[in-house]
Amino acid sequence: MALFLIALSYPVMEKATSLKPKAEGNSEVYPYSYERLILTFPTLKPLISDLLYMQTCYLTGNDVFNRWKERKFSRKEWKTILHNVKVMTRLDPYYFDPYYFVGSYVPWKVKDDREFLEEINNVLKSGMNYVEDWRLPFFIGFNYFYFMDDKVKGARYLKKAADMEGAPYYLKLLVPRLYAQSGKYQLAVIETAQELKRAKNEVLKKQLEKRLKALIALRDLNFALERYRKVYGRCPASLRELVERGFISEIPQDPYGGEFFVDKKSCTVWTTSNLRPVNTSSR
Amino acid sequence: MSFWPVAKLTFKESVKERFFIGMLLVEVLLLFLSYYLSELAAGDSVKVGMDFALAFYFFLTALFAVMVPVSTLFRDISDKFVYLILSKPIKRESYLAGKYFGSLMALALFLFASFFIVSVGVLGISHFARLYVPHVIVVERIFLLTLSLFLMGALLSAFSTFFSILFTSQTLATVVGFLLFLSGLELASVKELALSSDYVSPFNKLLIKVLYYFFPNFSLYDLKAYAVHLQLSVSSLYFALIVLYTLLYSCAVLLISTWLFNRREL
Repeated sequence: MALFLIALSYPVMEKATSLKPKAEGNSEVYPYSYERLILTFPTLKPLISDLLYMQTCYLTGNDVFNRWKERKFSRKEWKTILHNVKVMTRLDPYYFDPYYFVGSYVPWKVKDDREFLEEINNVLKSGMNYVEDWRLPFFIGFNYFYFMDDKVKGARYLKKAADMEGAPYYLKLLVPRLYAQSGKYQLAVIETAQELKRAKNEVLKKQLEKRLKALIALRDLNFALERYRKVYGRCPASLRELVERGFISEIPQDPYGGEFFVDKKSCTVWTTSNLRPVNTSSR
Repeated sequence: MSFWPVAKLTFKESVKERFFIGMLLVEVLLLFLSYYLSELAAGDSVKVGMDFALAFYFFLTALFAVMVPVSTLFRDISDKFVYLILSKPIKRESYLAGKYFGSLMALALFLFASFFIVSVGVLGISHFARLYVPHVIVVERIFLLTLSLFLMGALLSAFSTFFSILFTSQTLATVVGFLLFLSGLELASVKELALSSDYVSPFNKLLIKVLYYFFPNFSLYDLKAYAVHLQLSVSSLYFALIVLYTLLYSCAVLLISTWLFNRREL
């Protein structure tokens, strides 16, 4: 009898479930207050940071994965997300993932807003006081050179990243290239020479030697071009002109297989290889 | 040493109770829950799993430390067992000390077992997690957290003993004990916020300071972040100071409890 009654209760339950009022899914980006959170959960600060991060990921994941119903966040919503990331990192400053999220993903969504990017970098910079991971200075450097077009600051942070444990070796090659691209040839040469002294990996050593040769050539050519400009008050039409007027004895060869040329727009010498082997890649 | 037989008896009673095994089973279930919750996190799921597991560990220890002294004392009184003991050449203060130390021994055993369960649990979470950069777990850190939880339990048990004598209702003693624990955790954060805020009046700031020093500070024992993040370190001086703090505060509370117990009509 009891079993019969229990069995009878199932269709009743099913019917009741179908009539139950359903709450609409809420995907609003809600700003959280650090003060309220620590008063509500005093000893659970890291745990609340985890939950906030999980919620932020789910909200953002909706944007990333469900392309068929892609959710675009407004600038205001991105600001709220950044505010929440700040709350997360205040609750648990040693938690790496919120920094990773804000460093690797958010800049691509706000790339035209310099002020926002600076704010992201500030969050990452404060994270560097707690988390020793090469990716934090890497993201800062990347934001500077790629989105904010500040190659010198970019190179400075990428150098920090390159010097940290676990950083991929090619970062060491990227730093001098950025210095060179921003016109700091002497700095690029010094940086590469120092790395060459420290390098133990044979593959990296060979790459650094090649890079150093190219950078020395670039530095000397640019110095010669500068002297030419001071004497003649104009940019030379080509490097041949520097040879003809005795500023250099010959045009050096680019170890990467490219050719040095005068970029008339900026009146500097650069190379067609862009400091990369010409047969494998070109930019 | 006349308290020793009472302590032994209290320990045996507490360990034999279903509550003891029940709490350990809940610990295991919560570890499974921690694992499933950690799976929801993108990124360092081991960190998230540990945060959950250690938070459950922290609160279960507090619950144990509140409930065991209260339940043994009230059981003795309700079963009239206390008259039998006090009719022997055992003073009231020895009886109370025995009850307290018996509860502490039960707490130590509970923490010892929990330490193994939690360590195996978080190592399991780490084993099953698919992480690009592994999260290193140092079991010694979990052990240090366990030691700090024992100290927290010792202070909380002293308060539970005090409330068991102060109140005539077991439920009230348990609830007040747990509320005191939450207040002791909260006050450090309240003080931090209130003193740095311009919106709190000087009178309220003073009131919060007074309350902060009046209530026991349970946030001192919260070394969960130390167990999770290897960048953090705890100095031996800090640990020595929390041992001293526990000793001083627990002795004070037990002395007041003894004074009250000597005057209480049973």
